[in-house]
Amino acid sequence: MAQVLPLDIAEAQPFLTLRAKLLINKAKVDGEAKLYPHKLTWHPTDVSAAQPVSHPASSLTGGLQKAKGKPLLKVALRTTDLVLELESDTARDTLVERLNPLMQQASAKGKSSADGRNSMARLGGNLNNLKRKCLSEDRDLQETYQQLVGGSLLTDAEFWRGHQDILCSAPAVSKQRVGFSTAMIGDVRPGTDASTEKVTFKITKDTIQQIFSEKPHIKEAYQLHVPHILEEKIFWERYLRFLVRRKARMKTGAAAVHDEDEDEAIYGENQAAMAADMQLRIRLVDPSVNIAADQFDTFQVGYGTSHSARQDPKPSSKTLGVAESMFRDLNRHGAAIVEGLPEMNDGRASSGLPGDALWRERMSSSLDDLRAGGAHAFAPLQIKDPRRYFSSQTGIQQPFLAGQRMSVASASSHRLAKCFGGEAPVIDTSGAHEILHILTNQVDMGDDMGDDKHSRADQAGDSSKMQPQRMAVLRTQMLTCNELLRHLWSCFPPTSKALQVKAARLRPALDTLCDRVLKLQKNTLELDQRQTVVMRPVLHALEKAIEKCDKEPMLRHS
Amino acid sequence: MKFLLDGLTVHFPYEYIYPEQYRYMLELKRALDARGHCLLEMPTGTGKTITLLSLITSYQLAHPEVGKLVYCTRTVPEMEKVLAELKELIDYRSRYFQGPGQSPPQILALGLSSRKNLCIHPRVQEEGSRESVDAKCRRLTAAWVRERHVSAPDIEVCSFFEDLERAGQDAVLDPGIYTLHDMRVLGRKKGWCPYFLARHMLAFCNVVVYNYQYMLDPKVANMVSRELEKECIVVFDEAHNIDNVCIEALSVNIRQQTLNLAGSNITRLRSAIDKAKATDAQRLKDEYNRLWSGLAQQGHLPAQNRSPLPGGEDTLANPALPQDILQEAVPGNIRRAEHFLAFLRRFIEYLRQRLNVQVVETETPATFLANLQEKVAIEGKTLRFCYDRLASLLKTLEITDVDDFTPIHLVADMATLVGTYARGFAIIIEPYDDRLPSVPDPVIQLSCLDASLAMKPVFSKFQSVVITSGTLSPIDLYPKILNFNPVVIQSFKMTLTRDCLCPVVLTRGTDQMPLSTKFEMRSDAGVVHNYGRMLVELSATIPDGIVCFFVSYLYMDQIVAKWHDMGVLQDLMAYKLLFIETQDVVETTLALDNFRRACDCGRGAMFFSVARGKVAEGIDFDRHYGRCVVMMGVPYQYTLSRILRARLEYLRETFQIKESDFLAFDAVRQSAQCVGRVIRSKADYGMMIFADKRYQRHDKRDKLPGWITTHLKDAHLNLSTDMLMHVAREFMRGMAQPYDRMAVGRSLLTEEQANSMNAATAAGLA
Repeated sequence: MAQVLPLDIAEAQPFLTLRAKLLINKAKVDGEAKLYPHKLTWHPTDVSAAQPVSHPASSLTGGLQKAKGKPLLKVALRTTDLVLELESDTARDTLVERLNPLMQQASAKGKSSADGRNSMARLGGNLNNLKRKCLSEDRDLQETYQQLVGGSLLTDAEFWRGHQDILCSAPAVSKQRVGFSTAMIGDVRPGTDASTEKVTFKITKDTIQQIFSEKPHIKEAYQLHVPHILEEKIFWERYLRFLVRRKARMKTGAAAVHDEDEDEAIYGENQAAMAADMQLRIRLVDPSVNIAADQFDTFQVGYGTSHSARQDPKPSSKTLGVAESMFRDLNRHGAAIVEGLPEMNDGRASSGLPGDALWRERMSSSLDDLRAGGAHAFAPLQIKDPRRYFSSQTGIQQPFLAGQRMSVASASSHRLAKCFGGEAPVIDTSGAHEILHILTNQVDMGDDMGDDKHSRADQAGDSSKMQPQRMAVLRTQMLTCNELLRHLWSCFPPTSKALQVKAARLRPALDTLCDRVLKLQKNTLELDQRQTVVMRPVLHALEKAIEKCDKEPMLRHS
Repeated sequence: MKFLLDGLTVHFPYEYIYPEQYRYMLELKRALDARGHCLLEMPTGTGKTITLLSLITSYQLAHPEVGKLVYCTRTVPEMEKVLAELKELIDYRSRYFQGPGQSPPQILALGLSSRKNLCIHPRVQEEGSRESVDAKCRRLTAAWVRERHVSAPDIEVCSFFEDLERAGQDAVLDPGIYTLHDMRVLGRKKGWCPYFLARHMLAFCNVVVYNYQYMLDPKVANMVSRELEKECIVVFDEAHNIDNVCIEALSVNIRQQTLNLAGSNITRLRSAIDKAKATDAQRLKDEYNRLWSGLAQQGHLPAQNRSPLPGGEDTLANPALPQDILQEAVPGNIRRAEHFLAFLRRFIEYLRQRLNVQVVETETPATFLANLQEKVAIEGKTLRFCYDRLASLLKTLEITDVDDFTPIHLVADMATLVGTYARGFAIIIEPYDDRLPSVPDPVIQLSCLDASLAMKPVFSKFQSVVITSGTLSPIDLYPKILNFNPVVIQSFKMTLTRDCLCPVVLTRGTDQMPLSTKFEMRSDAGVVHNYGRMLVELSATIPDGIVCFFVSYLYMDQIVAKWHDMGVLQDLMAYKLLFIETQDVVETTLALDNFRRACDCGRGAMFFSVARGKVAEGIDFDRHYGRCVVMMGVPYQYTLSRILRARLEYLRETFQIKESDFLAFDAVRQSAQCVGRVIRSKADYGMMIFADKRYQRHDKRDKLPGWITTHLKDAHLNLSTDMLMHVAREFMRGMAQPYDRMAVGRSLLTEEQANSMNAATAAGLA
């Protein structure tokens, strides 16, 4: 539901306005170019001739190109070019002079946002888009926004400050998380120069991350040594040297010298811990591939044949070291990448089946073509709740993006979805019971405002009978009141001037809202007295807030 | 579906059935009706397991006089799969018994494995090896330990075993299908030991699934499967390697270290005897008297005191086959404990002396015994009693840490076997493994050469034994090497409506140089490079999972290291993740699990495995887990091996099987088994690449099973890498299309069609 929203309430005036023709398919359209602190716009004189153009400064990254002897200016944008014909060369140069610092500023902003220190800063120029996206996705939020910001009770910044959680968790929504590279990072090779063994290795944050996930013992060593004992750079240099030396040593079968022993102490693996970790992991493995369980069911040592022609002999220690170490690294590399894949975050849980049932299902589906139903050649279409995917991207194992704001209804639907394992619900007895149970809970939870059990049941029955329009109005008013009260109570105690000013500003709005709610109550009273009970808590909260404001000496004074 | 098959109502848990499954059931039923053994080969990916289970459980339902189904699998993962399929079948079958007054027929099925896989005791299960788990378990459950616990409660016993014992007759499982995991869960819930519960329930269950060795290895079979009734139906699934298991079951190998440890064992036993003499001399006297009376088997516990549930005192049984065990009193010269220890010490010294060789020595048991008699005056007949005498002594001395005494057990077992069998065995003494001559590894082996020996008691005891696999070609060979007369011997073909199998023979690289893993070619840089490039190009062409089988670990180590240096691995990993089987099974299991996850999420992966390794034996790479399998080379056994040579000689003399034929047969069945891993149903599809120029030859190709050779087109022979890529692209494009239901009536039968086939068969017979 696209809608133009008053996001830029205090938008700056253009600091440059010039007559300019826009070149569209070799045709020139008269119009006016305006340069704002954050954008460049062009409006046609005749609105039927062309569409107005507006480009944020962040998109002006491609540079400017002037034509010789003509007042033409080509502004390279990310996806297209904008060609303007100005009235004169001077006008064009003026525009170029003003555009250049703007573009530099935009590029600097882009760089600073890449630092990623502040999650809000990271949003960069996409913040407004993000806000719009959040508002369009959440109808309640949108209604509240229009009431409060549109009604000038709160500024845009104040409103969003109260909803930082949505914005901070949103960047992952806009960008897909990228898995690790498949390339072997830890594979350090000396240069081909025969005389020197020079290793050039570029360590980036991503590389380090990958090394840590492939080799947890290096992460432990890092945490233990850096920066207390070793500088980061030295730590990595020694690590790479250690790798190269170890590789060379394994190939030649030479023994380690004293220095290397020291490095071994830092970078070497704890075999016992590793074996214990593997034993733990193996418990989660699908039993149909668990060949480790099989070794306990074969012939005991000494029985059977030794030096058998069918089995490989035990390799010498030299060969064993090289091959085993390389294979282990390759396997661990693959494991780290599979672990790190975004899709795998909820991979096993997504089917809604426990691990044991999952392997049985996987196994029993191997003869699927013998089942009736035909279309097994096509994968069954499973439309998952998209929010589930997004929540997995944030790394927070919450079922919904805005877990805190999850309504009772959505929570129920989520539980229902879980109950059916994401498949189309087939109503059997147990499923029907589950639905009944959830719906009963929903009714109970939705009517917490009532005083006793009996009246709750009555209200449930009544509210369900309300007209949808009336319900919507009541709901909007209540959401607005709650949001406003949240902002108001956040000003207490009013220890600073800013808080006092804000509280004082919100005080008249309380009166207005209170009047509005009273009026609504009066109207509904005429129709059905019991419906007013629904509004009673909000009214009570508003009265308490007004009372608090009136009692506060600082506010009275201001 | 439910249909009539030659008068038998069969419940099959799908709406359709493959025609070959129907025919398989028909042949199997004939064998069961005739109460004889059968040998059935059915192509991989045609649902053998479910066919077997459906027919036999239906047969059991219709013929209550038939005993239990004993389903032998090669590996634990296969065991789990069989039980999962059985569960599905029984759940499905119960739908047909939902009417008023009907109740679904009850069935009890369970999997049995070692203590290590079933133990739930918090400390014992943490032990790393099977032997240490067994030993710890015995220490807590042996009869004499439990007796002492009554008077001294600080002596620890296993609460799970005690609770199970206390439950007595009530300790029974409800009808159902129990996997190993289910048994553990139930054990925890009820507080009963799952291992002993499973052993106990063996007598009551309808279906038992366990490893081959529980049936074939006399040491285990006499302990676990002794009570099974004659009417049982025994199935050996994936039985193409059954001859090797039989041979392993009766072979023993002894190293220098084993002899040293056995010497220490004797010293410990000696001091235990001295201690017993000082404290409880009567025990030894009683043992002597029992042995004198000929009660060798009973050890120190009189029969009436034996618990119905044998605990830790129940150790591995006699290594000789039941019919070959002498039922006589133990000879006088080893009846006294001290004399027996002196006798063993002499035997160990002799073995130690024989082990000091510089060149390989091979001899028959008769020569060995003659030499033994001459050098140390030990008679062959006395040797036959070694196992029983040692078992009796250990029980008399109440030894529970049996794992410490494994070396002396090995020596006694070898003595028993060498004293019992004059034919079908060879004694081979090797100073080192021929493949690693620089590494001294002296070993004295009593190697069984005749696979029929271990099978004989099974064939004679049980009325129906089913030997089945996807790869039993040439099928006539098996009755010979296993020495039995099957009433049904049949090889089935696969009916396909689309060519979902694409076997190809790759003989040349992109540069047209021949490809082979022949010993003289395998180290050639060009061959290594060509193999590597082939894999890189395949990984760029084939979606999802690719499996590559190498001929041995050694070869895989070498070639992968070279690929690493050549940069092939880096190129490969640009397309797919790489996982490798190692000799460490834990590492391999995790690699397999990650491989599957990489395929599940669409990243795609390649798995390097070894043709005779653990993965090749029992792991399926069906559907997207294996869209292509590459068999790199011909997986011949090491032909210079002394054991193999001795066996080949025996096969030639006894069964007139030519050495080269047997070697080629063995290698090709192995590669057929490897490539067959990728097809698990007719909707599945996969390429099978035989990457060696030797597969071009008729003597190799002819030994491939029929279901492969029928799909091996002339155009897919003698390919080079670039031609292979073209074939691969074509095949993948064709197979990725939706699989329609045109197969119904041709490669799929409905219930009505199955019933009408039955009617037609009946009419034909009439």
